[in-house]
Amino acid sequence: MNNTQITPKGSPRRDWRLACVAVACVTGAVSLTLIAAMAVNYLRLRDADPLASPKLAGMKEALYEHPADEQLKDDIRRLDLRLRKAHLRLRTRLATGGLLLGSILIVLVVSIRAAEILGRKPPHPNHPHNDPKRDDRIAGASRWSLIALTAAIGCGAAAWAMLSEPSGDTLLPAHVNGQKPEPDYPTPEEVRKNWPRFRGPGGAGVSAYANIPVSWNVETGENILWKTPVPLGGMNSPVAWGNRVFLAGAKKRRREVYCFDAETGRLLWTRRVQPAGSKDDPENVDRDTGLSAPTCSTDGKRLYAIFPNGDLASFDFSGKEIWSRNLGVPDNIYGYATSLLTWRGRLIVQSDQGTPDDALSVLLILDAATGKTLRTIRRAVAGSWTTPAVFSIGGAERLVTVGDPWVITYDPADGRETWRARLMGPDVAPSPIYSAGLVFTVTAEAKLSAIRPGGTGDVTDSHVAWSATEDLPGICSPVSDGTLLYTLTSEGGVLTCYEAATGKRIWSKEYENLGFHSSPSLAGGRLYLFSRDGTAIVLESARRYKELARMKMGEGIHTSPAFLDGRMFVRGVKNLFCISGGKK
Amino acid sequence: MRGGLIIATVLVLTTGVFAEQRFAVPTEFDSGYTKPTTQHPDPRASMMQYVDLGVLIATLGLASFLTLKFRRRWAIFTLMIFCLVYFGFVRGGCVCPIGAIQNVAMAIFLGDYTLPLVVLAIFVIPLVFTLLLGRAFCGAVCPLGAVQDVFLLRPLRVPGWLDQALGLLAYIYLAAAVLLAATGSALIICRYDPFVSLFRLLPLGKWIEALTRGGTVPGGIASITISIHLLVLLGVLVVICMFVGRAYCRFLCPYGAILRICSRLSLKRVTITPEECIKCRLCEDACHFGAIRQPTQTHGGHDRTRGKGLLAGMVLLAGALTFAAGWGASLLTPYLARTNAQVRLAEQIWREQNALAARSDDINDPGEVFRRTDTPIARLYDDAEDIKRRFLIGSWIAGGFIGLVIGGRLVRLSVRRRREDYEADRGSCLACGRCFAKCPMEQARRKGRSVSLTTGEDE
Amino acid sequence: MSDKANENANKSKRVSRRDLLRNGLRGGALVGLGVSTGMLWSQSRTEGSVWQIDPLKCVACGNCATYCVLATSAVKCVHAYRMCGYCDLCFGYFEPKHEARNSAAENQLCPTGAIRRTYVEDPYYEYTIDESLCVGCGKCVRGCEEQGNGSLYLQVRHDRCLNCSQCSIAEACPAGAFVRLPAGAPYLPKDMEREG
Repeated sequence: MNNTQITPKGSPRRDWRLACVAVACVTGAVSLTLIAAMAVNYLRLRDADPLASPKLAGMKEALYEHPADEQLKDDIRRLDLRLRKAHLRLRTRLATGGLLLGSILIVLVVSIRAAEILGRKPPHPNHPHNDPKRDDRIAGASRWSLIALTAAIGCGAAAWAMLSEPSGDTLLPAHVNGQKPEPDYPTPEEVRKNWPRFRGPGGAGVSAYANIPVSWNVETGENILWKTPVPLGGMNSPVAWGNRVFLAGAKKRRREVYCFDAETGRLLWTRRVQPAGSKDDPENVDRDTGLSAPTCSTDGKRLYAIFPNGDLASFDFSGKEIWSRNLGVPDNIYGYATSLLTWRGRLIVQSDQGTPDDALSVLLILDAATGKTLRTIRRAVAGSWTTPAVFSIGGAERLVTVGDPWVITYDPADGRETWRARLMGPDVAPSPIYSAGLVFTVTAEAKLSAIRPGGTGDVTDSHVAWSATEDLPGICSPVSDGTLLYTLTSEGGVLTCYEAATGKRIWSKEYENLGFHSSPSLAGGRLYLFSRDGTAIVLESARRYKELARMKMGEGIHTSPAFLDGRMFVRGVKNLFCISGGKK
Repeated sequence: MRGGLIIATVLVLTTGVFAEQRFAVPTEFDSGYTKPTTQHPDPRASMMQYVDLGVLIATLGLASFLTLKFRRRWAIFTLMIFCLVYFGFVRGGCVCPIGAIQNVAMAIFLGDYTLPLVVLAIFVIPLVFTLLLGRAFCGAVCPLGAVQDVFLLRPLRVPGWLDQALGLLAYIYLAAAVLLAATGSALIICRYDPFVSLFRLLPLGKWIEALTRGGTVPGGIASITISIHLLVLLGVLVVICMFVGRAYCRFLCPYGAILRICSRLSLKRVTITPEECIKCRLCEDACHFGAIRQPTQTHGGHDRTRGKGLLAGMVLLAGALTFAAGWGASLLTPYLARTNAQVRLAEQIWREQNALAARSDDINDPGEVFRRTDTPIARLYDDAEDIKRRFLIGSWIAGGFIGLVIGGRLVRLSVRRRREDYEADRGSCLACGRCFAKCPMEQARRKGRSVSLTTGEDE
Repeated sequence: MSDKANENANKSKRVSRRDLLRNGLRGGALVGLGVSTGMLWSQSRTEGSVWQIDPLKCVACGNCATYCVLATSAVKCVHAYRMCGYCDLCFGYFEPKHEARNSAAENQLCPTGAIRRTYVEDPYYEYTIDESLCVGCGKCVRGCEEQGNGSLYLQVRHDRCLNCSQCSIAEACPAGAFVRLPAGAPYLPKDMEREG
């Protein structure tokens, strides 16, 4: 080690080192002072911001009392200017202080490094003789220090817990009362057993019950429990809860809601819907969808109904009106046509209108009990007629909406958007379903897409598991039993079976001369189809096409059936049918 | 665009349908005025993050080469300064692999969070490098390590036993950070990163960005950020780092804790002497981080048996500690859960409902905002319960992990390793290159091969 | 190291056993890292994330002005002209108890005078935000939201934002209005200009 010299007193190297140490000390002291000054400055800007001067506020208040006081006005203007200047000065000082501090720290670092390099002692390899027991001693001491630290941390944590406010567990009501507060909405189990909305729980079109007849005969009455005429027509489908079946109907100047007894088919009550601001006979309502297209929804306590002119009303099961309001006629060629959805005490109204540029489309989240708007979510989509659904995806509940061109999902609790995918085309009507871990969306003008739910933002490129482009339905929603997925086209009458997870096309069947508006439904491993001219087809849900029965309903069917235990409710053009095997 | 739609829009809006417009929106102006469009300045170009990634990979590769092959302290120091300037001042120290721990934890445990690919890469790449080539990341690439290195003035030797105990803090920090991130509560590594405020004093990156935008620095030089508690933290740590070599890296850094484990398994490692060790102990002097281990002595049979008994005891103790720490941490669940805003809100609302606390109608109060949104209270309680359940499971795991680390340390302290030479400890070595720069054998090797390098003082 | 191994057979055995263990563990760690990276990779997004305020949730509490790590907040008021009524009496511009409808200090709501009021034609006035003066306090936003069309709203301005991994305003936001957005669509404009 001949390359390091001893630095004698008075040598230039030692002088340089001293100089560096001096610089380091000075810059260190300066930067500490600067930090202190900046701290004061910062606290003033945050806690005593000149802009938030109570004096100015007081003077403005005084001016309101004496509006003609020119002197006061003058004072206000002068004070305002002074305060704004003071604010700017504090900000500028803070900024220059930061720059200065940064620069001084660089000098400090350089001088520290220089002092360290200049002050290096020559290496001296003359340590005392290696202590053979040193490692053991260190290991022993380390063990004790580890144990001591562990004990100290344990004591610290215990002290922290003692000093904190009482444990939250004893504060939350679930633990105080031993039970959770009764919610104002049905449990998932109750929802599963009933048919609360268009296409039933989750909008899946799948019955929880297998005991639905395979065949029936309208003329002889075989397996027809009852058949009741519906006063006013409508394209909306039945919903059912407990022993009640609900429908809506309308003509040009009259909109009504009906409640039927599920046992006997008796019409229990009829209520007219006529909220303030209601507009009769809206011009933009299309003949195809009619004057009462949207399906009602119920949460087991109340029924909610909406009409193409924007009339929205809620009734209890005895027929008492709870609230009603008019949302206005949407700018949409079918009028309001999306069905309603209830979720945890909220009513969700998807009103897609106009073009994306119009910024007219909204998703309204209403308080189901009062009809008050809780949230208005704007959507950059064109008009559409799909019904949204809340799916439980990976433990989180997600509201999935389908519009043109975006499939957008939200957290239904706060309306926050979670992810979106650009998959849809114009005139979307089929509603989304969730099966086999995938969200399925389809429209005739774009494609059938299977989306892996998840992610945030635009997931078009990353989350589409598979898609198909042939025989796309334009009106009927798809249905799935968890492994197989079925789509049914309206015009050609093509029923296609896919493997839900992979998108493999398994078979397809064309029903010549039949058209469909009614979406296919699944019950007990069987598919139920109803054509526009009133032909009912029952077939097996299987990897091979097997038709089980074909019946005539005697009148056109444009709606999707509802299911309860052992019963299927089908709305024809004139009558409501209850199809049931066991006549109780 | 469909014709006449604007008029339709206005009609719909003005009749108060679906929108919350209170006043008619004028569409046409006689004076020919046209409405300006609101400008939204773009964030930093997405492409730039791949530049960052490229620089990270390049510097990691170079750092590994410098520590394992080139073996020059001055080169490592120069690279370190470059990384300090680039990752620190230009990139503002964010996103760094240390903070990325939390983003990765969120991506694993929170369904709603989408991890940007670059953050994942920034987290994983140094781990892979460390598994293969040692902790070159700490030695030369990490800007936080660099800050501590440049401030190092008069390193004091931390006694071995204290070093062992303090090293535990990093694992506790890691466990806490992952627990809080995985429950969506807080990102404590970022919140308490003391050095980020230093980097933000001279935000080079923001200035460069402003210049490339063709404008001046937005808001003048007031793009400076000051957060007082961080500045104070920075001041304290800088003073500590003047006298304790890389105090943050050794005793607090949660990523360092992971890297420590990885580098114990690494394929290549820093070797001090290129030839035979002459046991001059110069490397022990040169290392400011207490990472040099001395050669072992041969022990008698008596010692060995006693050692085995001790080892067995420690293994049992480690098992017990894992369980005990998990249980202990699980008792803290209700207090830990309060770091979550949702849980805090639920407790606040419950207190207000039961008249245990006064209601505030201040708009800054989360309770007041909650009341305005009309969210069902049951839903809030449900959510809070759910988060608490996550906390319960999480604190069992986090506590167990800490117990396991303590136990593992105790076991390792009771195992005798045989060493012939002075060696850098695989876990503690930060690959700074000070030891081999001081090694006389290395000096000799260089002299033999190259004439230009005659000094051992490379900084 | 292996050249030293021949010195002592016993030692060499022990060393190689330890090396074997280490190699195995390293291989396991690399494979584990690879698999978990792959799984995370499939859920990741190529774009980076940025912070933004959801204007529908924002209550304009004023925390944005004080909690940003920048000395002057990166949050600014933004004007959606397409929603603005161009009113003469603007609730975002004037003090609730203003004395006269002019730009005198005693009538202005904005503490920094960052809103410029320009006459367009009878009865319309244009309101423009000077972002270099705006501190993001949200006083005007609240005025416009509560009594006007809600065309003024707060947004994180990305030429200023440092994009901290944990936004400190987001932590202090009482409404949980801060969201992470993909860097490709970094704003949540109220009038949906981003979609247009």
